[in-house]
This record gives sequence, structure tokens and C-alpha cells, in this order.
Amino acid sequence: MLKLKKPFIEIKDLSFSYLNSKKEQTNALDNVNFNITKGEFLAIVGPSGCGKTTLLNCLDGLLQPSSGKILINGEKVVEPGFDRAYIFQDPLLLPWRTVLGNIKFGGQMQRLKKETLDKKSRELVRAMHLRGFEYHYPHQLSGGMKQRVNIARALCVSPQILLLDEPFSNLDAQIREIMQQELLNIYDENKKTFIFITHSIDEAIFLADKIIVLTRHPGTVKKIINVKFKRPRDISIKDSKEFIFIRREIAKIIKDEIHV
Amino acid sequence: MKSMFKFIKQKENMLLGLSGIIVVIILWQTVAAYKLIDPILLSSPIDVFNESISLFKTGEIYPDLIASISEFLIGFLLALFLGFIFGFILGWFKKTRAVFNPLLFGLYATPIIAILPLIILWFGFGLFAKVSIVFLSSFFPILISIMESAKNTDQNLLKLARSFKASEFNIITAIIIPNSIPGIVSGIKIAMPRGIIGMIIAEFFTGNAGLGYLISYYGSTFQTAKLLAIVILIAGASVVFTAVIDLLEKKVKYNN
Repeated sequence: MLKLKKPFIEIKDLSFSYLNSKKEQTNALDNVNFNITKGEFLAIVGPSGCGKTTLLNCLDGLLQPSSGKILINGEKVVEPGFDRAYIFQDPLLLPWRTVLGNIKFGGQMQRLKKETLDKKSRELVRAMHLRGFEYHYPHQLSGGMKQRVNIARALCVSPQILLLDEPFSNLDAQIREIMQQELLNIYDENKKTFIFITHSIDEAIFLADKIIVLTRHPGTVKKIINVKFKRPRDISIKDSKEFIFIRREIAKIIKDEIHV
Repeated sequence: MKSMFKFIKQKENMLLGLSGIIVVIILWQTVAAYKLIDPILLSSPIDVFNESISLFKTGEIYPDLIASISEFLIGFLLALFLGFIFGFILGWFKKTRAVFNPLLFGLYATPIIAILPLIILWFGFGLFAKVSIVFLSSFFPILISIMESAKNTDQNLLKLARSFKASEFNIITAIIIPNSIPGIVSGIKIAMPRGIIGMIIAEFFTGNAGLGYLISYYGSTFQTAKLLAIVILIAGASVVFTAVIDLLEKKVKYNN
């Protein structure tokens, strides 16, 4: 008999509800189902308030779903783990630590050996173009730099899965493009599974292999779109017919959602 | 010449401040030298300076200086230690804080010196009474600043720590304590002058040792120059302490 390969990450009938400020039961996510293959770059887009961040929090184990479950390698997610690293929208650097100290934070929580951690953090400083800033404090860094430290801190725990919550949304357009390209380089070098939340349709198409479009509140999966640009990708694909076609398709879905 | 000009420009405010002090001292010396005011009421700055030197040379000041320093150190360090522990407990546990909050703010607002007669009644005139006053005067501001900053720890930083699987112990040592350091320093800044005032007044009333006792003794025996020498010594010490804490405060302010 043919044995079916289990998907790497399974999201099964996931719902999440909470009590809002008026103490009413509110659904943020309703019956979300999809799978993620190992090494895939997945983007999640949708109108604001569709529960994207909630979904990512559930994937990390920071929030527990009200019903349904998330399986990683067949195991249910119940709490955060070092197989996953969460990259927050705000860089959330510890202001009393230097760049190097911030990069090491997760590794220290993971109880990595000091020498291993030293070596690893130095490598990440190099890889994330932070050389010369090792002993700077967060307030001395630009927005792009802070986000680089944020990403380096996540990579430092050697996660299998990176959960990125709109990491570039507070950066200006030029820096944003540079960071997107750098993120693609990291993805190409590491072949980890990336789950990337964004408001920007262009960003999702440029980065991802697969895009999940969520409906408006409460979030459900509206459509799954495969993006088949070859890797490594560069900025020129943004002008291709296919790119524009996908963009139009997603924009229409989201527009329909907002006007429902 | 040019570099001197630059120096003046850079240190302008400091030089202006210094000139204010110098003008007052010159005026004071003039008033005293021409005996415009009776020297029993106001000694000349030169006399005060000479008396300051001789207080140390003859060793007259040492027993009381040591008494004051030990009262202050014991009381203040105890306040810092207990304020630190209870500040974190109250900052961290909501329900406990709800119980103690009104009580604490009430005690913080009470001029501790008002209960000095009671303290003397309980503990007598010795070291312990004075240590208690220093402790009570400085404990509440320290406790409250630490409590406030532990309470106001950025929720997102806690979330970050949890996403990296930080243990409770790690959350406290790696997030909450470093996050409260500016609060601790500003608590010390408020508590220290209160502690010093408490100490001096307690010594006035217990009347057996310490700088406060010396001031009241010199006052009642009309040794004005010595009295002023002690006052200036205490003021100078306070200025130095405050400057050190200001420096510390700048170091631990994160400007984020």
C-alpha cells in the first residue's frame, strides 16, 4: 500500500475566539485549514483584522487555539519551542543590550554553550551586515539595522521554522526592498521553512512559493495561490506578466472581501 | 587664545553657575569683614573654612561623622535591600499590590519625622532609633519606584521572552530586573535626600551623637563658624551624591 507522506505542518480546523472589550465572544479565526511543506516559503495576506497575527501566534504556541490544532511533524503545538523562531513586527530589542548581546538572547535562553554562541553570533553579525555595530545599542541603530538584529536573534537559535510578522512594514520603501532581497538570500542559503505575514501583495508574491489569502474577520482561507518564479529571484520579476497577473488576482479577492 | 575661548563657550553654564557661588561668597565675606552682622549670627567664609579644616585636624568631628555615616549606611542599605525585594514582589503580583497600594501611598505621604517621638518611645535614644528613621524615610520612595517600574515592564518584551521559551527565572533576571534599573536609580535619587534629612533631624532630637547633634550643640554654644562648617559639609556631600546618581542615571537611560 502506498504510504502517504505526512505534511510538515498541518493546520486543522483551527478556530480562535476571544472576549472583546465589551466581553462579547469574538471569532478571530474560523475553521482554518492548510498544510505547509518543509522548506517552503509561505506568505499569508489578507485585509487588516483578519487574524493573521493570531494565526502566527498559534503557530508559535504563544496562543492556544479555541478549537482545532496545529501539528508540526505530527506533533501538536502546545508551547513555544526552539524549532520555531518568531520575528516580531517591532524589532523588540532589549535596550540595555548591545547588538551582539541582543543576537545572543535566544541562544542564552536555549542554553547554548558560550563558545558556540559566541561563534554563532559573530557569524550572524557578518551575514546580516552588522559588522562594526557589534557594540552599539539599539537606540544608535536605524530601523533597518534593528530589524536585521531581530532576524539575526531568531536565526541564532537555529530554528526549523521562521515566523515573520510583517517585519518590514515599518521601514521606508527603499530599505524595505533591500531587506526583502536579503531575506530571500537568507532563505536560499538556509532552506528553512518561512511563514511570512504581510499587508503588501507585492512583497508576498516576490518572496513566497505559496500565498494564503485570508478572508476578513473572522479569518478563513479564501484562496491558496502558488507562485512559481524560479529561485534565486531578483527584483526584475516584479515587472513580469505573471507577477502582475497574480497581483491583480489577489487584489481583487481582497477588494471583494473589504466590500462584502 | 582661541582654544580658551572655545573652552568658555563649551562650559558656559558651568562657569556661570560657578560665578554665582563666587559672587555670594565675596558678598558674604564683605558683610562679615566690615562687621555689618554680628559674627555670632554669621561668621565669615574664611572663618568657616578655617574651622572646617581644624574640625578634621583636631579630630573633633570624627566620632560624630562616623556615627552619622553608620546610621545612614545601615538605614539606607536596608531600605534599598528590602525596597528591592518588596518592590519586585508588589510590582509582579497584582493582587498583593492591590492589598498594599493604599497603605503604601499613605505611608509615603506621611512625613516620617512626625513619628519620631513614637520611635524614641519604642527604641530609645540609641543608634537603632536613628537607623529606623533613615530607613523609614528612604524605604517608601525606593519601594514605590521599583514597584512602578516592575509593574510597567513592556508586555511585548515579555512576549518576546516567552517566544524564546524563557523560564520564569530568566524572565526576571534577563527582562524585569534590567528593565527596572532606571526606576531603581530614580528611586535612590528621591530617597537619599529624604534619608539625610531624617538622619539630621533624628540626631537633633536624640541629642547624643552625629552631625545633627553637633549642629544643635554648636548652635546652643554660639559656635557659629563650626555650625556652618558642618552644614556646608552635609550640603557638599549631598551635592556629590546627587551628581554621582545623575551620572549613573545617564548611564542607565536607554534613550529608546
